[in-house]
Amino acid sequence: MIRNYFKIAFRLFKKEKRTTLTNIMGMALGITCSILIYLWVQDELQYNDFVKNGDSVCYVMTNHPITGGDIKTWATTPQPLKAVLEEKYPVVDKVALLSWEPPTNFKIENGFLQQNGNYASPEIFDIFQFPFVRGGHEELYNKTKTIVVSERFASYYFGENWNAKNIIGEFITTDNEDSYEVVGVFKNLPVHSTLQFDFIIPFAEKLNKNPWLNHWGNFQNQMYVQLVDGISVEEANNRIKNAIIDNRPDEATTEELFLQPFSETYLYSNFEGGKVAGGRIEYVRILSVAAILILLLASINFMNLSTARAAKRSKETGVRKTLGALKANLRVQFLIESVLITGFGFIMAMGIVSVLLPEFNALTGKDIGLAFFTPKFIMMLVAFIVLLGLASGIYPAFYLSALKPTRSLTGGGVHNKNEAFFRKALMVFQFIITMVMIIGATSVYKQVSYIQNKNIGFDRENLVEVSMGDINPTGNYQAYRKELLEKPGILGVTPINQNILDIGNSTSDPEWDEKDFNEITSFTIMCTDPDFLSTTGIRLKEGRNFNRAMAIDTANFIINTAAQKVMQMKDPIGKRLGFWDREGKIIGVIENVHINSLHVPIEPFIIRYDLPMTSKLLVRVEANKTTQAIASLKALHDKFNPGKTFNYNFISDMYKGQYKSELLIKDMVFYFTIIAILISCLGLLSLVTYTTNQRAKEISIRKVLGASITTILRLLSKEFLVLIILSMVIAVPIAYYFIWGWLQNFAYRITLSWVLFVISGAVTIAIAIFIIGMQVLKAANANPIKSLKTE
Amino acid sequence: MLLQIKDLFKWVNSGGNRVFLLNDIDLTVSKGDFISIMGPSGSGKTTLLNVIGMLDDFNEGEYTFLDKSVHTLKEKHRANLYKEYIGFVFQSYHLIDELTVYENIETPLLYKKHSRSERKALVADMLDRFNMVGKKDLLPSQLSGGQQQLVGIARALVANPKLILADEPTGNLNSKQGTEIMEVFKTLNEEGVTIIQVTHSEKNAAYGSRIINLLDGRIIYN
Ligand SMILES: Nc1ncnc2c1ncn2[C@@H]1O[C@H](COP(=O)(O)OP(=O)(O)OP(=O)(O)O)[C@@H](O)[C@H]1O
Ligand SMILES: [Mg+2]
Repeated sequence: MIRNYFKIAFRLFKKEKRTTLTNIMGMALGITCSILIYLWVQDELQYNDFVKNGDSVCYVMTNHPITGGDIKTWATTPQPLKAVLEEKYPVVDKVALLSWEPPTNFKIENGFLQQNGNYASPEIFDIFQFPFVRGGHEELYNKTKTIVVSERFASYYFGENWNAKNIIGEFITTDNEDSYEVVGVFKNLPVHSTLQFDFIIPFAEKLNKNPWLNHWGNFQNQMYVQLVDGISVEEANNRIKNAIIDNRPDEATTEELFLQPFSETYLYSNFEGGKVAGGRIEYVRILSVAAILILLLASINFMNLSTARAAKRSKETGVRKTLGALKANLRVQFLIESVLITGFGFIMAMGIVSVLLPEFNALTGKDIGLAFFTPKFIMMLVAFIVLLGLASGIYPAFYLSALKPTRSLTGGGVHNKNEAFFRKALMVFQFIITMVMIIGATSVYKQVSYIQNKNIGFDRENLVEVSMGDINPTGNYQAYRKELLEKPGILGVTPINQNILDIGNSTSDPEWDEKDFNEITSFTIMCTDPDFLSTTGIRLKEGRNFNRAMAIDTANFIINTAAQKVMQMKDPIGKRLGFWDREGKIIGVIENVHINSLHVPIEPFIIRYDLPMTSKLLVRVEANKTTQAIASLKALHDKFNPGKTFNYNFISDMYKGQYKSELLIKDMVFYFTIIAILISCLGLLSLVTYTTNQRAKEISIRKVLGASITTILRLLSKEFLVLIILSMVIAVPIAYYFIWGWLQNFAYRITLSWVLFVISGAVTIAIAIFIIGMQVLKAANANPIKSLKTE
Repeated sequence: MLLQIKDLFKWVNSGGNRVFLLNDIDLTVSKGDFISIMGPSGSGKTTLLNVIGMLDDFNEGEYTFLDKSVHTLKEKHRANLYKEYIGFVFQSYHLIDELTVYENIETPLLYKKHSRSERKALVADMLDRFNMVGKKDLLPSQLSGGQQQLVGIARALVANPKLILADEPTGNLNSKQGTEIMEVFKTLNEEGVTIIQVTHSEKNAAYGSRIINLLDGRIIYN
């Protein structure tokens, strides 16, 4: 019996090759998408999964209240908090501090080895239980001039065969001439970890070098804690929330603590009002929903086509019933067919996935291998495919098996109103999904291009950041500057104290005459010199720039418009402003510049002429001469910093880096929308083909009676077009709702204009008309005798 | 008694008017009967046969089949009757287009859970009986109308039904073939099989023990 079903299925497939192929292709595309998205989502969810203690390991966040009741959340803590948590808070088992550290250079035989690592409390290894292959981390507790390194580090530093040497007790030297004794080699950290380092030096060493870190006011380091067994994160949070407020001895503060489970730090990295407000998890969700919708599209194709084919199948159904078939037998038969179609789709999808995987990895920056296809995964997929087949086949199966024998034997009754309505509803639903995706993709595309092209207030192209190294900003910097500006390709240089795209330090210390001391207003500060404006290209709105010749200017300030606004000054030039032991005047106002990400509004910003604070250089290079300019920079760097590594970064690259997830989502949404359109078009194509075939006789008779091709075209496409326009009307508000929600993530965003919706709709309708037109024309142009004869 | 129909009406509504397809039908069929239904085209023969075969429903009246009211018959019971008791021969054959001659004849056996070898033997027997051995691997579309009709008859007989409902079983056959089929029916009837056939031919009707004349959905008694 089952064999018989298979036989029939295969013969049917062969007989209706085109329909079957479109069905299989639609399924294959849908399955491909969902496999890819599944792999991506799994990879995302895998982050920080490796910790054995699960939720008891937490990242410590601090909430800093600022102006207007808003709260800033940072992953920084003051150093004395560690001891306080350990001693006074029994819910906390272990505490580890971890510095934020730029890459460090280590001296090797002929040059330098740059590695990422941190100063950290040795407890970090107790909390995360990273295994050691040599030695251990115990010595880190006892001596400060010690270091543990990763296997990777060891093989770079000591050579591939470091394993054969006894490297424990060897010394490693940094380019600052600090030497550390190797006391352990740990296994490379898991790839799927937000915590990444290749060496750890005891935090005590950092404290020795920077005793000011012992101050409660310095929120400088990351902190991980392990909670006592059986304590929930929620409970611990309640207990330690006020640990800073309650324990800071010198002055009253407002910073609250909260714990984020380590397993969530990757996916939930956005904070609003002191609470978790999503992050990458949103993209995981968006794409998961997209995967489900795309699968839905594919199975709707199948359902639509199977029910449309009902007329053809109904005779068989009727005959089988008179031969004693139960409805159940017939359902099994139809379900086998749909599972077969999905099965073929699946096989095709596996082929496509294995071809696309490298591209997909390149697109998403992941390293998903075919190793994912474990027997267990395959089994799961097979189960899923059977389920998908059943889900797609269930409606047609029930529908077909329920037809009355005489009705189906006489071919009547299949054009039942309910059924036609259902098929139309499915098609409308399908087009709604497609259109929402098209509108979504277009909006995402527009927003991301907006970010990329937005005039952020200064020209970020051809702007390079280099480290200052041993150059003394108040000493030999002037000599360096003079020499650099003579080199080809260099247009300007200015010293700065922090990355221009990521000015993190903010302070509420500035004081002015009419300041309302009840309000906390925070300002971001840039310490630089008079060349800052010319190098960045930021324009002065009023007032003047700093003047090198005027010694007094080091106590004067330039502010941005946002700062002028919060200080409520109508005419700011010449007004008193003071903070951090400098008392001076506002001498200039600049336009609002997007210093930080477009995700947040422009903040009040103050520029100080403060050379001693600077640590980096910002260099404007000439377009088309970047290679030459970088070479000049390196030459000068080597001259002023003998023996140090030269690092540089283009600001434009950094800018793109800020929007990595958006760029990724833009690409993914784009590709998946294309696939969704393809699937829907396949569905529409076969449905149109099907109905025109069904009406072939009618078309022929009309032609014989003298109807023109245009009349026929109109007659046949009207029904479809009405449905598509209806879908559009429904899709627009849905799309608007979701896109609007997504855009709320950006403080600076595109306005959703109706043009976008109209264009998206017009594109869809154009595609649909094209498909319908092609098929209908084919039918209309066919020789009428042919179809009349075959009937 | 095999089946009994009492005061049965079947109608369709067309433009507000009731059009009667079957009008006040009374009919009793006993086991072993051989009945021929006759009447002009459009008189309702096929409709009546479909109602008897429970393929079609009716609007008013009583119909009991093997002492069970057809109204209350469950799908499963009905399917069982088709499987075990009734064999249909359709006016327009109704073969399954995707199946070969052999497979078409085999299909009723599939629902009866015969073993493979049994099925083979039974189908071979039928092919033999109707001289179709050479055609067993052809699809219906590759057969002439008469050949298709023979396959339809073979399919109806293969499962040894106790009641055969045949709608113009010889309509597309030549007179020699037609006579052969009638002889087959006669033999089956002598073995106790009940037969109800629709026919236009007086000669074929004469094989039966009783003739029912239909006109405009009514039985004409003379
Ligand atoms: N579903 C229906 N709706 C309307 N009229 C119907 C329907 N089914 C059958 N009829 C009508 O009922 C009448 C009887 O049809 P039926 O097929 O039973 O005739 P018949 O006696 O078998 O004719 P023939 O000898 O041509 O096969 C016809 O006039 C037909 O048009
Ligand atoms: Mg008839």
